[in-house]
Amino acid sequence: MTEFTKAPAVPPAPCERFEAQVGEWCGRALPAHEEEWMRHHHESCASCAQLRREFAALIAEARALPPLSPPRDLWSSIEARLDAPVIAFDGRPPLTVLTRRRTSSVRTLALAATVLVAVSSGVTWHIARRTQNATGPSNAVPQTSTAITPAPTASTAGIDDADVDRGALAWATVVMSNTAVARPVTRRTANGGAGADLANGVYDQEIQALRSIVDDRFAELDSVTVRALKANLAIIDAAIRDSRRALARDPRSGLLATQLDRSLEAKLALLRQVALL
Amino acid sequence: MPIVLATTSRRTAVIAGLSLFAGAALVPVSVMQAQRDTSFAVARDAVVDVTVRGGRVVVRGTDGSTGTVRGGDGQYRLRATGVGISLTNRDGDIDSHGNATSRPQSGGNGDAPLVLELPRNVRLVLSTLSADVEVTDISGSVEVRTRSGAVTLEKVGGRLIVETISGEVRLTDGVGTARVSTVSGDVTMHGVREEVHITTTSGDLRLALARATRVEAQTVSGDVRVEGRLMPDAQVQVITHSGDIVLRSTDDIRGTLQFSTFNGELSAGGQLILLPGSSTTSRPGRASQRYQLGSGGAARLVLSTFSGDVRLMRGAQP
Repeated sequence: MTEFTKAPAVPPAPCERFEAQVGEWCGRALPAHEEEWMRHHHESCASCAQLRREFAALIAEARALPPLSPPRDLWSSIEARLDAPVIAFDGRPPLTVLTRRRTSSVRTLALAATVLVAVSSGVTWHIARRTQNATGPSNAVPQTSTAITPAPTASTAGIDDADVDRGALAWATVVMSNTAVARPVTRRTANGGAGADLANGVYDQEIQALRSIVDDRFAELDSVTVRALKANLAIIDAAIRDSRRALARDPRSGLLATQLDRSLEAKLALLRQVALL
Repeated sequence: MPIVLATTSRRTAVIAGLSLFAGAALVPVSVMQAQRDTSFAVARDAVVDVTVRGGRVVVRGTDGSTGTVRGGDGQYRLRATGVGISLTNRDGDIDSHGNATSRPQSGGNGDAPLVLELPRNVRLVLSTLSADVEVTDISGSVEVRTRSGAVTLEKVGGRLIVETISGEVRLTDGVGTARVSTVSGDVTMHGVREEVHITTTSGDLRLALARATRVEAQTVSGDVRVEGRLMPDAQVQVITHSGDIVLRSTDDIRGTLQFSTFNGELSAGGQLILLPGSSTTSRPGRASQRYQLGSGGAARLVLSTFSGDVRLMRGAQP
Protein backbone atom coordinates (compact mmCIF):
# COMPACT_ATOMS: atom_id res chain seq x y z
CA MET A 1 0.00 0.00 0.00
CA THR A 2 1.24 3.39 -0.82
CA GLU A 3 1.70 5.49 2.28
CA PHE A 4 0.95 9.15 2.61
CA THR A 5 1.94 11.25 5.54
CA LYS A 6 1.83 14.80 6.70
CA ALA A 7 4.52 16.51 8.66
CA PRO A 8 3.84 18.00 12.06
CA ALA A 9 3.59 21.75 12.26
CA VAL A 10 6.80 23.28 13.59
CA PRO A 11 6.44 26.94 14.43
CA PRO A 12 9.69 28.65 13.36
CA ALA A 13 11.72 30.57 15.88
CA PRO A 14 11.67 34.36 15.34
CA CYS A 15 15.09 34.50 13.71
CA GLU A 16 14.28 31.55 11.47
CA ARG A 17 11.02 33.18 10.55
CA PHE A 18 12.91 36.35 9.74
CA GLU A 19 15.48 34.46 7.71
CA ALA A 20 12.77 32.68 5.80
CA GLN A 21 11.10 35.91 4.81
CA VAL A 22 13.93 38.37 4.46
CA GLY A 23 14.14 37.95 0.71
CA GLU A 24 10.46 38.65 0.26
CA TRP A 25 10.68 41.54 2.66
CA CYS A 26 13.52 43.13 0.73
CA GLY A 27 11.46 42.61 -2.39
CA ARG A 28 8.41 44.18 -0.73
CA ALA A 29 6.42 41.02 -1.35
CA LEU A 30 5.12 40.45 2.15
CA PRO A 31 1.65 41.27 3.43
CA ALA A 32 1.41 44.31 5.67
CA HIS A 33 1.20 42.46 8.96
CA GLU A 34 4.24 40.33 8.12
CA GLU A 35 6.13 43.42 7.06
CA GLU A 36 5.31 45.00 10.37
CA TRP A 37 6.54 41.93 12.24
CA MET A 38 9.74 41.87 10.18
CA ARG A 39 10.39 45.53 10.86
CA HIS A 40 9.84 45.06 14.57
CA HIS A 41 12.11 42.03 14.77
CA HIS A 42 14.72 43.70 12.62
CA GLU A 43 14.91 46.57 15.07
CA SER A 44 15.30 44.30 18.04
CA CYS A 45 17.74 41.70 16.68
CA ALA A 46 21.25 42.67 15.66
CA SER A 47 22.04 39.50 13.71
CA CYS A 48 18.85 39.74 11.68
CA ALA A 49 19.51 43.40 11.05
CA GLN A 50 22.91 42.41 9.69
CA LEU A 51 21.31 39.71 7.53
CA ARG A 52 18.91 42.24 6.14
CA ARG A 53 21.76 44.64 5.33
CA GLU A 54 23.61 41.88 3.51
CA PHE A 55 20.56 40.99 1.50
CA ALA A 56 19.93 44.60 0.63
CA ALA A 57 23.55 45.01 -0.45
CA LEU A 58 23.35 41.93 -2.64
CA ILE A 59 20.16 43.15 -4.25
CA ALA A 60 21.66 46.58 -4.81
CA GLU A 61 24.71 45.05 -6.46
CA ALA A 62 22.57 42.85 -8.62
CA ARG A 63 20.46 45.81 -9.70
CA ALA A 64 23.57 47.71 -10.66
CA LEU A 65 24.59 45.02 -13.11
CA PRO A 66 23.98 45.28 -16.83
CA PRO A 67 21.14 43.20 -18.22
CA LEU A 68 21.85 39.49 -18.13
CA SER A 69 20.30 36.71 -20.09
CA PRO A 70 18.05 34.89 -17.66
CA PRO A 71 19.24 31.49 -16.57
CA ARG A 72 17.25 28.66 -18.01
CA ASP A 73 14.22 28.14 -15.75
CA LEU A 74 16.47 27.66 -12.74
CA TRP A 75 14.58 29.72 -10.23
CA SER A 76 11.18 28.48 -11.25
CA SER A 77 12.48 24.98 -10.69
CA ILE A 78 13.81 25.84 -7.25
CA GLU A 79 10.75 27.75 -6.24
CA ALA A 80 8.30 25.17 -7.45
CA ARG A 81 9.87 22.48 -5.36
CA LEU A 82 11.07 24.22 -2.27
CA ASP A 83 8.17 26.46 -1.56
CA ALA A 84 5.23 24.18 -2.01
CA PRO A 85 3.01 24.15 1.05
CA VAL A 86 0.71 21.22 1.13
CA ILE A 87 -3.03 21.20 1.40
CA ALA A 88 -5.26 18.25 1.88
CA PHE A 89 -6.41 16.73 -1.33
CA ASP A 90 -9.82 15.83 0.03
CA GLY A 91 -10.81 19.31 1.03
CA ARG A 92 -9.54 19.31 4.57
CA PRO A 93 -7.89 22.45 5.90
CA PRO A 94 -4.42 23.09 4.53
CA LEU A 95 -1.65 21.16 6.15
CA THR A 96 1.57 22.75 7.17
CA VAL A 97 4.55 22.80 4.92
CA LEU A 98 6.56 19.62 4.87
CA THR A 99 9.93 20.15 6.51
CA ARG A 100 9.25 23.84 6.84
CA ARG A 101 12.40 24.74 8.66
CA ARG A 102 14.58 22.89 6.23
CA THR A 103 12.98 24.36 3.15
CA SER A 104 13.26 27.85 4.49
CA SER A 105 16.94 27.40 5.08
CA VAL A 106 17.49 25.73 1.75
CA ARG A 107 15.56 28.42 0.01
CA THR A 108 17.64 31.11 1.62
CA LEU A 109 20.85 29.31 0.71
CA ALA A 110 19.66 28.67 -2.80
CA LEU A 111 18.69 32.30 -3.18
CA ALA A 112 22.02 33.46 -1.83
CA ALA A 113 23.93 31.09 -4.12
CA THR A 114 21.84 32.12 -7.09
CA VAL A 115 22.37 35.79 -6.39
CA LEU A 116 26.08 35.24 -5.91
CA VAL A 117 26.35 33.31 -9.15
CA ALA A 118 24.39 35.97 -10.98
CA VAL A 119 26.49 38.72 -9.48
CA SER A 120 29.77 36.95 -10.18
CA SER A 121 28.75 36.12 -13.74
CA GLY A 122 27.64 39.66 -14.31
CA VAL A 123 30.82 41.14 -12.90
CA THR A 124 32.94 39.02 -15.22
CA TRP A 125 30.79 39.94 -18.16
CA HIS A 126 30.77 43.60 -17.28
CA ILE A 127 34.49 43.92 -16.70
CA ALA A 128 35.36 41.78 -19.69
CA ARG A 129 33.23 44.01 -21.86
CA ARG A 130 34.77 47.12 -20.35
CA THR A 131 38.22 45.72 -20.98
CA GLN A 132 37.35 44.94 -24.56
CA ASN A 133 35.92 48.39 -25.10
CA ALA A 134 39.01 49.95 -23.62
CA THR A 135 41.45 47.96 -25.69
CA GLY A 136 39.44 47.63 -28.85
CA PRO A 137 38.57 44.38 -30.49
CA SER A 138 41.48 42.08 -30.09
CA ASN A 139 42.55 39.79 -32.78
CA ALA A 140 43.78 36.87 -30.83
CA VAL A 141 45.64 35.39 -33.75
CA PRO A 142 48.92 36.91 -34.89
CA GLN A 143 48.57 37.81 -38.50
CA THR A 144 51.52 36.05 -39.99
CA SER A 145 50.86 33.51 -42.62
CA THR A 146 52.76 30.43 -43.51
CA ALA A 147 51.79 28.45 -46.56
CA ILE A 148 51.66 24.78 -45.82
CA THR A 149 49.53 23.53 -48.64
CA PRO A 150 48.95 24.91 -52.11
CA ALA A 151 47.22 28.27 -52.26
CA PRO A 152 43.45 28.25 -52.52
CA THR A 153 41.75 28.50 -55.82
CA ALA A 154 39.99 31.67 -56.82
CA SER A 155 36.63 30.18 -55.93
CA THR A 156 37.63 29.63 -52.31
CA ALA A 157 39.69 32.71 -51.71
CA GLY A 158 36.57 34.76 -51.18
CA ILE A 159 35.69 33.08 -47.91
CA ASP A 160 35.62 35.79 -45.31
CA ASP A 161 37.80 34.92 -42.33
CA ALA A 162 35.92 37.40 -40.20
CA ASP A 163 32.72 35.49 -40.88
CA VAL A 164 34.26 32.34 -39.54
CA ASP A 165 35.50 34.18 -36.48
CA ARG A 166 32.13 35.75 -35.86
CA GLY A 167 30.56 32.34 -36.19
CA ALA A 168 32.90 30.96 -33.60
CA LEU A 169 32.12 33.84 -31.29
CA ALA A 170 28.42 33.40 -31.78
CA TRP A 171 28.69 29.84 -30.64
CA ALA A 172 30.64 30.76 -27.60
CA THR A 173 28.11 30.27 -24.90
CA VAL A 174 29.30 29.79 -21.42
CA VAL A 175 27.44 26.84 -20.08
CA MET A 176 27.02 26.54 -16.41
CA SER A 177 25.64 23.43 -14.89
CA ASN A 178 22.29 24.75 -13.90
CA THR A 179 22.32 27.98 -15.78
CA ALA A 180 23.26 28.64 -19.31
CA VAL A 181 24.15 32.29 -19.57
CA ALA A 182 24.81 33.53 -23.05
CA ARG A 183 27.45 36.20 -22.92
CA PRO A 184 30.58 37.22 -24.69
CA VAL A 185 33.56 35.07 -23.95
CA THR A 186 35.88 36.75 -21.52
CA ARG A 187 38.87 37.43 -23.70
CA ARG A 188 42.10 38.92 -22.54
CA THR A 189 44.16 40.88 -24.98
CA ALA A 190 46.75 38.94 -26.86
CA ASN A 191 49.61 41.12 -25.70
CA GLY A 192 48.87 40.67 -21.99
CA GLY A 193 49.32 43.85 -19.94
CA ALA A 194 46.64 45.59 -17.94
CA GLY A 195 43.77 43.82 -19.64
CA ALA A 196 45.18 40.44 -18.74
CA ASP A 197 45.82 41.53 -15.16
CA LEU A 198 42.27 42.77 -14.86
CA ALA A 199 40.88 39.56 -16.28
CA ASN A 200 43.02 37.53 -13.90
CA GLY A 201 41.82 39.63 -11.00
CA VAL A 202 38.19 39.15 -11.91
CA TYR A 203 38.57 35.42 -12.25
CA ASP A 204 40.47 35.19 -8.97
CA GLN A 205 37.80 37.18 -7.18
CA GLU A 206 35.00 35.07 -8.57
CA ILE A 207 36.75 31.85 -7.77
CA GLN A 208 37.54 32.99 -4.25
CA ALA A 209 33.97 34.08 -3.64
CA LEU A 210 32.57 30.79 -4.84
CA ARG A 211 35.22 28.76 -3.12
CA SER A 212 33.90 29.49 0.36
CA ILE A 213 30.41 28.38 -0.64
CA VAL A 214 31.83 25.30 -2.29
CA ASP A 215 33.80 24.39 0.81
CA ASP A 216 30.57 24.56 2.79
CA ARG A 217 28.84 22.39 0.22
CA PHE A 218 31.64 19.84 0.38
CA ALA A 219 30.93 19.43 4.06
CA GLU A 220 27.33 18.52 3.24
CA LEU A 221 27.83 16.29 0.23
CA ASP A 222 28.59 12.60 0.29
CA SER A 223 32.23 11.61 0.18
CA VAL A 224 32.04 9.93 -3.24
CA THR A 225 30.67 13.04 -4.86
CA VAL A 226 33.19 15.23 -3.09
CA ARG A 227 36.05 13.03 -4.27
CA ALA A 228 34.78 13.19 -7.85
CA LEU A 229 34.41 16.94 -7.69
CA LYS A 230 37.81 17.50 -6.13
CA ALA A 231 39.46 15.24 -8.69
CA ASN A 232 37.91 17.22 -11.51
CA LEU A 233 38.78 20.53 -9.94
CA ALA A 234 42.36 19.25 -9.82
CA ILE A 235 42.17 18.41 -13.54
CA ILE A 236 41.02 21.92 -14.30
CA ASP A 237 43.68 23.41 -12.04
CA ALA A 238 46.30 21.44 -13.95
CA ALA A 239 44.91 22.83 -17.21
CA ILE A 240 45.08 26.33 -15.78
CA ARG A 241 48.69 25.78 -14.75
CA ASP A 242 49.54 24.43 -18.21
CA SER A 243 48.01 27.45 -19.86
CA ARG A 244 49.61 29.95 -17.49
CA ARG A 245 53.02 28.37 -17.91
CA ALA A 246 52.75 28.41 -21.68
CA LEU A 247 51.40 31.95 -21.68
CA ALA A 248 54.27 33.12 -19.50
CA ARG A 249 56.66 31.90 -22.19
CA ASP A 250 54.66 33.41 -25.00
CA PRO A 251 52.61 36.27 -23.56
CA ARG A 252 51.58 37.57 -26.98
CA SER A 253 49.79 34.39 -27.91
CA GLY A 254 46.07 34.95 -28.28
CA LEU A 255 45.59 31.24 -28.61
CA LEU A 256 47.10 30.61 -25.19
CA ALA A 257 45.20 33.49 -23.65
CA THR A 258 41.98 31.99 -24.95
CA GLN A 259 42.97 28.58 -23.63
CA LEU A 260 43.62 30.05 -20.21
CA ASP A 261 40.28 31.82 -20.23
CA ARG A 262 38.53 28.62 -21.17
CA SER A 263 40.16 26.75 -18.32
CA LEU A 264 39.25 29.48 -15.87
CA GLU A 265 35.69 29.51 -17.18
CA ALA A 266 35.55 25.75 -16.76
CA LYS A 267 36.62 26.10 -13.15
CA LEU A 268 34.07 28.80 -12.51
CA ALA A 269 31.35 26.72 -14.13
CA LEU A 270 32.17 23.75 -11.94
CA LEU A 271 32.31 25.87 -8.80
CA ARG A 272 28.96 27.39 -9.68
CA GLN A 273 27.57 23.92 -10.24
CA VAL A 274 28.71 22.80 -6.81
CA ALA A 275 27.43 25.99 -5.19
CA LEU A 276 24.01 25.35 -6.66
CA LEU A 277 23.92 21.63 -5.85
CA MET B 1 -3.48 8.87 5.52
CA PRO B 2 -4.45 11.70 3.27
CA ILE B 3 -3.18 12.22 -0.20
CA VAL B 4 -1.70 15.65 -0.43
CA LEU B 5 -1.81 18.21 -3.14
CA ALA B 6 1.09 20.60 -3.37
CA THR B 7 0.26 24.20 -3.96
CA THR B 8 0.77 27.52 -2.21
CA SER B 9 -1.72 29.78 -0.66
CA ARG B 10 -0.43 32.84 -2.41
CA ARG B 11 -0.39 31.12 -5.74
CA THR B 12 -3.72 29.42 -5.45
CA ALA B 13 -5.26 31.43 -8.24
CA VAL B 14 -2.35 30.85 -10.56
CA ILE B 15 -2.29 27.17 -9.89
CA ALA B 16 -6.00 26.90 -10.35
CA GLY B 17 -5.56 28.39 -13.78
CA LEU B 18 -2.69 26.13 -14.58
CA SER B 19 -4.71 23.18 -13.41
CA LEU B 20 -7.33 23.99 -15.97
CA PHE B 21 -4.64 24.45 -18.58
CA ALA B 22 -3.11 21.14 -17.76
CA GLY B 23 -6.39 19.36 -17.74
CA ALA B 24 -6.56 19.13 -13.98
CA ALA B 25 -4.49 16.01 -13.71
CA LEU B 26 -5.79 15.05 -10.32
CA VAL B 27 -5.51 11.62 -8.93
CA PRO B 28 -8.48 9.54 -7.87
CA VAL B 29 -8.05 8.98 -4.17
CA SER B 30 -9.62 5.57 -4.03
CA VAL B 31 -7.40 4.21 -6.73
CA MET B 32 -4.23 5.45 -5.13
CA GLN B 33 -5.03 4.10 -1.73
CA ALA B 34 -6.36 0.79 -2.82
CA GLN B 35 -3.68 -0.47 -5.10
CA ARG B 36 0.02 -0.92 -4.93
CA ASP B 37 0.13 -0.60 -8.71
CA THR B 38 -1.36 2.85 -8.87
CA SER B 39 -3.17 4.23 -11.88
CA PHE B 40 -3.86 7.91 -12.23
CA ALA B 41 -5.14 10.33 -14.81
CA VAL B 42 -2.54 12.55 -16.45
CA ALA B 43 -3.15 15.31 -18.92
CA ARG B 44 -1.20 14.82 -22.09
CA ASP B 45 0.83 17.98 -21.58
CA ALA B 46 1.18 17.69 -17.82
CA VAL B 47 4.45 18.05 -15.99
CA VAL B 48 5.48 14.84 -14.29
CA ASP B 49 7.99 15.52 -11.59
CA VAL B 50 9.81 12.51 -10.18
CA THR B 51 12.20 12.83 -7.27
CA VAL B 52 13.99 9.69 -6.18
CA ARG B 53 17.01 9.18 -3.99
CA GLY B 54 18.43 5.86 -5.09
CA GLY B 55 17.61 2.58 -6.70
CA ARG B 56 16.39 2.48 -10.27
CA VAL B 57 13.68 4.41 -12.06
CA VAL B 58 12.16 3.32 -15.34
CA VAL B 59 9.87 5.66 -17.25
CA ARG B 60 8.05 4.53 -20.37
CA GLY B 61 5.81 6.51 -22.65
CA THR B 62 2.45 5.04 -23.58
CA ASP B 63 -0.65 5.97 -25.52
CA GLY B 64 -3.67 7.36 -23.74
CA SER B 65 -4.02 9.59 -20.73
CA THR B 66 -3.47 7.24 -17.85
CA GLY B 67 -0.28 6.83 -15.94
CA THR B 68 0.71 3.95 -13.76
CA VAL B 69 3.36 3.55 -11.13
CA ARG B 70 4.49 0.33 -9.56
CA GLY B 71 7.42 -1.23 -7.84
CA GLY B 72 9.91 0.73 -5.82
CA ASP B 73 8.81 -1.32 -2.78
CA GLY B 74 5.76 0.90 -2.61
CA GLN B 75 7.88 3.51 -0.91
CA TYR B 76 6.73 6.51 -2.83
CA ARG B 77 4.45 9.47 -2.44
CA LEU B 78 2.34 10.69 -5.29
CA ARG B 79 0.92 14.18 -5.38
CA ALA B 80 -1.01 16.26 -7.84
CA THR B 81 0.70 19.62 -8.18
CA GLY B 82 -1.83 21.55 -10.13
CA VAL B 83 0.16 21.34 -13.34
CA GLY B 84 0.84 17.67 -13.22
CA ILE B 85 2.03 14.89 -11.00
CA SER B 86 4.84 14.80 -8.49
CA LEU B 87 6.25 11.49 -7.36
CA THR B 88 8.73 11.29 -4.53
CA ASN B 89 10.13 8.10 -3.13
CA ARG B 90 10.09 7.67 0.59
CA ASP B 91 13.66 6.66 0.92
CA GLY B 92 14.55 10.13 2.00
CA ASP B 93 13.38 13.24 0.23
CA ILE B 94 15.63 15.31 -1.93
CA ASP B 95 15.19 18.74 -3.28
CA SER B 96 15.20 19.91 -6.86
CA HIS B 97 18.95 19.70 -7.11
CA GLY B 98 19.31 16.30 -5.60
CA ASN B 99 20.11 17.29 -2.03
CA ALA B 100 18.86 15.07 0.72
CA THR B 101 16.36 16.88 2.89
CA SER B 102 15.53 14.01 5.17
CA ARG B 103 17.15 10.80 6.20
CA PRO B 104 16.25 7.50 4.63
CA GLN B 105 13.36 5.89 6.42
CA SER B 106 13.79 2.38 5.20
CA GLY B 107 15.70 0.19 2.89
CA GLY B 108 13.78 1.56 -0.02
CA ASN B 109 16.65 1.06 -2.38
CA GLY B 110 15.49 -2.43 -2.99
CA ASP B 111 15.99 -4.26 -6.22
CA ALA B 112 12.52 -3.53 -7.49
CA PRO B 113 12.73 -0.61 -9.87
CA LEU B 114 10.20 2.15 -9.69
CA VAL B 115 8.36 1.88 -12.98
CA LEU B 116 6.23 4.67 -14.38
CA GLU B 117 4.20 4.47 -17.52
CA LEU B 118 3.08 7.87 -18.69
CA PRO B 119 1.39 9.45 -21.68
CA ARG B 120 4.29 10.05 -23.98
CA ASN B 121 3.57 13.74 -24.49
CA VAL B 122 4.16 14.70 -20.88
CA ARG B 123 7.03 16.87 -19.78
CA LEU B 124 9.21 14.75 -17.53
CA VAL B 125 11.40 16.22 -14.81
CA LEU B 126 13.45 13.64 -12.94
CA SER B 127 15.80 14.32 -10.03
CA THR B 128 17.85 11.70 -8.27
CA LEU B 129 20.88 11.33 -6.09
CA SER B 130 22.23 7.95 -7.12
CA ALA B 131 19.29 6.30 -8.82
CA ASP B 132 19.85 4.93 -12.29
CA VAL B 133 17.35 6.33 -14.73
CA GLU B 134 15.88 4.80 -17.85
CA VAL B 135 13.53 6.82 -20.01
CA THR B 136 11.95 5.40 -23.13
CA ASP B 137 9.55 6.77 -25.69
CA ILE B 138 8.78 10.17 -24.21
CA SER B 139 8.15 12.78 -26.86
CA GLY B 140 7.75 15.76 -24.54
CA SER B 141 10.74 17.50 -23.07
CA VAL B 142 12.81 15.52 -20.60
CA GLU B 143 15.00 16.90 -17.85
CA VAL B 144 17.13 14.57 -15.74
CA ARG B 145 19.34 15.72 -12.91
CA THR B 146 21.36 13.25 -10.93
CA ARG B 147 24.59 13.08 -9.04
CA SER B 148 25.86 9.62 -9.72
CA GLY B 149 23.07 7.68 -11.33
CA ALA B 150 23.46 6.39 -14.87
CA VAL B 151 21.03 7.93 -17.33
CA THR B 152 19.79 5.84 -20.25
CA LEU B 153 17.45 7.39 -22.77
CA GLU B 154 15.82 5.92 -25.82
CA LYS B 155 13.40 7.45 -28.31
CA VAL B 156 13.31 10.79 -26.57
CA GLY B 157 11.91 13.21 -29.07
CA GLY B 158 11.61 16.57 -27.36
CA ARG B 159 14.10 18.89 -25.79
CA LEU B 160 16.47 17.00 -23.57
CA ILE B 161 18.45 18.30 -20.64
CA VAL B 162 20.68 16.02 -18.60
CA GLU B 163 22.88 17.18 -15.77
CA THR B 164 24.99 14.81 -13.75
CA ILE B 165 28.17 14.79 -11.75
CA SER B 166 29.54 11.32 -12.27
CA GLY B 167 26.72 9.40 -13.87
CA GLU B 168 27.10 8.09 -17.39
CA VAL B 169 24.69 9.32 -20.01
CA ARG B 170 23.63 7.08 -22.85
CA LEU B 171 21.16 8.00 -25.52
CA THR B 172 19.94 5.91 -28.39
CA ASP B 173 17.64 6.83 -31.20
CA GLY B 174 18.09 10.54 -31.17
CA VAL B 175 16.57 13.67 -29.81
CA GLY B 176 15.58 17.04 -31.11
CA THR B 177 17.81 19.32 -29.11
CA ALA B 178 19.98 18.06 -26.29
CA ARG B 179 21.99 19.80 -23.62
CA VAL B 180 24.09 17.49 -21.52
CA SER B 181 26.42 18.42 -18.70
CA THR B 182 28.57 16.05 -16.71
CA VAL B 183 31.63 16.43 -14.55
CA SER B 184 33.19 13.01 -14.91
CA GLY B 185 30.46 10.97 -16.49
CA ASP B 186 30.93 9.67 -20.02
CA VAL B 187 28.39 10.59 -22.65
CA THR B 188 27.38 8.32 -25.51
CA MET B 189 24.74 9.46 -27.95
CA HIS B 190 23.53 7.65 -31.03
CA GLY B 191 21.29 9.09 -33.69
CA VAL B 192 21.82 12.71 -32.70
CA ARG B 193 19.60 15.03 -34.70
CA GLU B 194 19.43 18.80 -34.79
CA GLU B 195 21.46 20.35 -31.98
CA VAL B 196 23.52 18.97 -29.18
CA HIS B 197 25.51 20.86 -26.56
CA ILE B 198 27.72 18.87 -24.23
CA THR B 199 30.09 20.01 -21.53
CA THR B 200 32.16 17.83 -19.28
CA THR B 201 35.39 18.02 -17.38
CA SER B 202 36.83 14.54 -17.62
CA GLY B 203 34.09 12.50 -19.21
CA ASP B 204 34.64 11.01 -22.65
CA LEU B 205 32.15 11.89 -25.35
CA ARG B 206 31.07 9.69 -28.19
CA LEU B 207 28.51 11.05 -30.59
CA ALA B 208 27.00 9.26 -33.54
CA LEU B 209 25.25 11.84 -35.65
CA ALA B 210 22.18 11.25 -37.77
CA ARG B 211 21.23 14.62 -39.20
CA ALA B 212 22.90 16.95 -36.78
CA THR B 213 22.98 20.62 -37.66
CA ARG B 214 24.95 21.89 -34.71
CA VAL B 215 27.29 20.16 -32.31
CA GLU B 216 29.05 21.91 -29.47
CA ALA B 217 31.24 19.88 -27.17
CA GLN B 218 33.69 21.09 -24.57
CA THR B 219 35.87 19.03 -22.27
CA VAL B 220 38.99 19.57 -20.25
CA SER B 221 40.59 16.13 -20.30
CA GLY B 222 37.85 14.05 -21.86
CA ASP B 223 38.29 12.65 -25.35
CA VAL B 224 35.72 13.45 -27.99
CA ARG B 225 34.72 11.22 -30.84
CA VAL B 226 32.15 12.45 -33.34
CA GLU B 227 31.08 10.28 -36.22
CA GLY B 228 28.24 9.94 -38.65
CA ARG B 229 26.53 12.23 -41.06
CA LEU B 230 26.66 15.98 -40.87
CA MET B 231 24.19 18.23 -42.60
CA PRO B 232 25.83 20.23 -45.41
CA ASP B 233 25.58 23.44 -43.39
CA ALA B 234 26.39 21.83 -40.06
CA GLN B 235 28.36 23.71 -37.44
CA VAL B 236 30.61 21.67 -35.21
CA GLN B 237 32.64 23.14 -32.41
CA VAL B 238 34.76 20.87 -30.22
CA ILE B 239 37.08 22.31 -27.62
CA THR B 240 39.31 20.34 -25.28
CA HIS B 241 42.37 21.00 -23.22
CA SER B 242 44.16 17.69 -23.25
CA GLY B 243 41.47 15.48 -24.70
CA ASP B 244 41.90 14.07 -28.18
CA ILE B 245 39.35 14.73 -30.88
CA VAL B 246 38.35 12.32 -33.59
CA LEU B 247 35.89 13.38 -36.25
CA ARG B 248 34.82 10.70 -38.69
CA SER B 249 32.33 11.58 -41.36
CA THR B 250 30.57 9.08 -43.56
CA ASP B 251 30.40 11.69 -46.32
CA ASP B 252 32.77 14.34 -47.59
CA ILE B 253 32.67 17.39 -45.41
CA ARG B 254 32.63 20.53 -47.52
CA GLY B 255 33.29 23.74 -45.71
CA THR B 256 35.90 25.30 -43.49
CA LEU B 257 37.90 24.06 -40.56
CA GLN B 258 39.31 26.39 -37.95
CA PHE B 259 41.89 24.44 -36.01
CA SER B 260 43.77 25.75 -33.00
CA THR B 261 46.26 23.98 -30.81
CA PHE B 262 49.25 24.66 -28.62
CA ASN B 263 51.10 21.41 -29.10
CA GLY B 264 48.54 18.99 -30.40
CA GLU B 265 48.69 17.49 -33.85
CA LEU B 266 46.26 17.46 -36.72
CA SER B 267 45.96 14.58 -39.10
CA ALA B 268 43.40 14.31 -41.84
CA GLY B 269 42.30 11.65 -44.23
CA GLY B 270 41.07 14.06 -46.87
CA GLN B 271 42.00 17.23 -48.68
CA LEU B 272 42.85 20.22 -46.55
CA ILE B 273 43.76 23.58 -48.06
CA LEU B 274 45.19 26.28 -45.83
CA LEU B 275 43.24 29.47 -46.36
CA PRO B 276 44.57 33.03 -46.48
CA GLY B 277 44.59 34.69 -43.12
CA SER B 278 45.50 31.45 -41.41
CA SER B 279 48.42 31.79 -39.15
CA THR B 280 51.10 29.88 -37.40
CA THR B 281 53.75 31.03 -35.06
CA SER B 282 57.40 30.35 -35.63
CA ARG B 283 57.29 27.58 -33.06
CA PRO B 284 56.39 24.20 -34.41
CA GLY B 285 52.90 23.03 -33.67
CA ARG B 286 51.75 26.23 -32.00
CA ALA B 287 49.17 27.22 -34.50
CA SER B 288 45.76 28.57 -35.26
CA GLN B 289 44.90 27.67 -38.79
CA ARG B 290 41.98 27.81 -41.12
CA TYR B 291 41.47 25.25 -43.83
CA GLN B 292 39.12 24.58 -46.61
CA LEU B 293 37.60 21.13 -46.38
CA GLY B 294 37.05 19.26 -49.61
CA SER B 295 35.97 21.55 -52.39
CA GLY B 296 34.51 24.06 -49.96
CA GLY B 297 30.97 24.48 -48.73
CA ALA B 298 28.78 25.66 -45.88
CA ALA B 299 29.90 23.33 -43.12
CA ARG B 300 31.88 24.99 -40.34
CA LEU B 301 34.19 23.08 -38.04
CA VAL B 302 35.95 24.70 -35.11
CA LEU B 303 38.32 22.33 -33.33
CA SER B 304 40.56 23.57 -30.57
CA THR B 305 42.88 21.89 -28.11
CA PHE B 306 45.77 22.78 -25.90
CA SER B 307 47.61 19.49 -26.13
CA GLY B 308 45.07 17.09 -27.52
CA ASP B 309 45.48 15.64 -30.99
CA VAL B 310 42.87 15.96 -33.71
CA ARG B 311 42.13 13.40 -36.38
CA LEU B 312 39.75 13.87 -39.26
CA MET B 313 38.66 10.70 -40.96
CA ARG B 314 36.30 9.82 -43.74
CA GLY B 315 34.20 6.73 -44.17
CA ALA B 316 32.25 4.44 -41.93
CA GLN B 317 33.98 2.92 -38.97
CA PRO B 318 35.44 -0.46 -39.84
